[in-house]
Amino acid sequence: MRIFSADEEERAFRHERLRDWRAAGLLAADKTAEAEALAGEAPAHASWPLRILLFGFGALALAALSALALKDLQGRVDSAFVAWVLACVAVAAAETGINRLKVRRFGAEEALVTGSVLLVAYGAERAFSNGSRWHFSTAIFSAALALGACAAYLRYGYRLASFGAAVALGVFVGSLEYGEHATRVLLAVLYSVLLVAATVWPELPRRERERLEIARFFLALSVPLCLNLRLEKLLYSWSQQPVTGAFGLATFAAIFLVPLVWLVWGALDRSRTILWAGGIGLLIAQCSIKPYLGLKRNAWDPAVLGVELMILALVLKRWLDAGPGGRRGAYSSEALGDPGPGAAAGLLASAVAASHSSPPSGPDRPKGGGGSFGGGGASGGF
Amino acid sequence: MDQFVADLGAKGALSPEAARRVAELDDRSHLPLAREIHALLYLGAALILAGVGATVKDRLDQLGPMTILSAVGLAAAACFAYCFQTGRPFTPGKTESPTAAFDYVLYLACGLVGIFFSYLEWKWKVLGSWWDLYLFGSGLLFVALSYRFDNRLVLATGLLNLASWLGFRTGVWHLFGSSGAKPALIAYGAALAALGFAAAKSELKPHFEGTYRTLGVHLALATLLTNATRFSYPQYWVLMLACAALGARSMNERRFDTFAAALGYAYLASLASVINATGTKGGDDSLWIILFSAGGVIAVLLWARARFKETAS
Repeated sequence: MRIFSADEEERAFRHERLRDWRAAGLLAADKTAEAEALAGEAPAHASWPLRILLFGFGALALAALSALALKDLQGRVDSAFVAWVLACVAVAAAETGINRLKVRRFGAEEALVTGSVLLVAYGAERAFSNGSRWHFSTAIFSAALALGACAAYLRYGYRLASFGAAVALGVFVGSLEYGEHATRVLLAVLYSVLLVAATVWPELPRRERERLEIARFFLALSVPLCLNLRLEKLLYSWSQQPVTGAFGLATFAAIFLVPLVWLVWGALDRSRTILWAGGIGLLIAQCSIKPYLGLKRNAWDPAVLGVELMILALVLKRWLDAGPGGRRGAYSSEALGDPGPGAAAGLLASAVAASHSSPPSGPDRPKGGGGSFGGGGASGGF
Repeated sequence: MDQFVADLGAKGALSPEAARRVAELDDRSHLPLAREIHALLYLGAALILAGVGATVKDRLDQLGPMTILSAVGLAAAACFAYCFQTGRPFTPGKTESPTAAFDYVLYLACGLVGIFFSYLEWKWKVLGSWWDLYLFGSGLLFVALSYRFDNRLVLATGLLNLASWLGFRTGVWHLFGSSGAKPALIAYGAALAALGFAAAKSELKPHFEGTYRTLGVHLALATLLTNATRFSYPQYWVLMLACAALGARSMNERRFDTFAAALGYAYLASLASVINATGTKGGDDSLWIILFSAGGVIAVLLWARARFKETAS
């Protein structure tokens, strides 16, 4: 089923590990060539910037071709047929590229596979729906998308495909018109089941488990998010109606309990992804307290949360460092590689800060522009 | 221990200590949390600045100007005092932070300085129409602090403040006529890129090179791109020349990210110019142009990758 043999996959996984060890400072630069020789020859692999560029331009080319082929077609069956033909052509091109050029994770072939899955789903919607009912069209599109993404994962092992399958299944459940409460519970149950399946699936090799970590993170984080009735109102500052009723209160408890369970599970299992999902889930739950209770936000709430986070980080570091040998069980605050603020983080932070600033409307009336002065995210609208 | 790790250890590719640590990471008997701690500290500092800025903006009437200025000023002073007290002595090379929170406290201090001067100017208009001197001053201060404490986060903030000042001031003075601030920003971006290339070869904070280069390249090329949408515009040809020079230089220095940026800007300018020249917005011709140009860029990228690999070997 998988386009690469188990041996090729294992060699590629070894090279991925070598890159990680190199970044963490565990593998000396002068030993890299020797280690790579021991890992065996792996299919060609593109660096992240090249992979993103090739993916982008590959997707652009396929999108332009699809638009050319589909834009003038009137009949739904004709459109479906052409979309499926295009999907077959894209998959054939991807397979040819992989087999001829011996490439793996190169961007362009990933764009072709991704595009073909979308084309299959588009074709299914055109073929099996008459377009009169939006929910039915969505259900067919998302179901076909989920099936296509699953097939792509089984064939190529792309992380994006596992992620896409989970999202498409969620959209499918959302299109079933069971009402808001039932849909939220169904989604939470679905993502929990998928999370358990991705965790305990028997006889998965280690490389496959590591590949599924991003899907596990998404699934674990999605469970409390699906149950959060105030998620879309997190950024509102004004007071809203408090959430009442048994279901509302149950979800209020669940958005705290589920991330706590993830944190305990992640800590016991020493799983970084589950710990991240639990931590972010708990942070979102804390931000949801006021919207849930119908309370107005204060302007200083972000600062209080920021102080909390900084104190938490420092207490955690001090607690870890105070353990025997600088460790508490398996955990330490030791840095592997460079975890500090780097150039990318600096540019990102500054870009975000600069976007807040606004120059004065005229020389006589400056409006401030805190972000532009300090890059601190302060509003420029004093 | 994993067989691969054992083999690497036996052949000497991994030292016994490194092999032990890799084995620990593999079987999760060791889970370092440094990245999580740094993420919490960065998020915390950013939220504090957002909260202080929002509070100053929303509670002007209740708090009073002196309370606001005193509180923000004292907080900034406390952060700076901490940095100067605990910071390591200046060295031209890379200096490790003395504590995990150090870099973020410095960033917080810089942000608070920005809020302090913003409020000061808004309330009393001390500098009036010369308010942008705050940008200039804070930019210089942040750049100096970034060198003193070896902090790229603060360096990028300072360089952006200087860019904002330059853009505003040249616009106010109409130095470049109808072109506005663009020529000044292009020159500033080029200067930053040149500083980046120079920093890599100097002994003074050579690891700042990436910040200078990335910021300079994107500022200069993005500013050029805004007017490089027709073949008849000189900006188009200037952009093409700049991209060609950058591409050749990055090819020599094996910097794929710079090469990719040059290619991306050249592609966008050429695509816009071709579509404007043929007048085919939204039609079949545009789609054909996108299809073939995307294919052409993929070919160039694959050729460049082969060249990069050749120069590596």
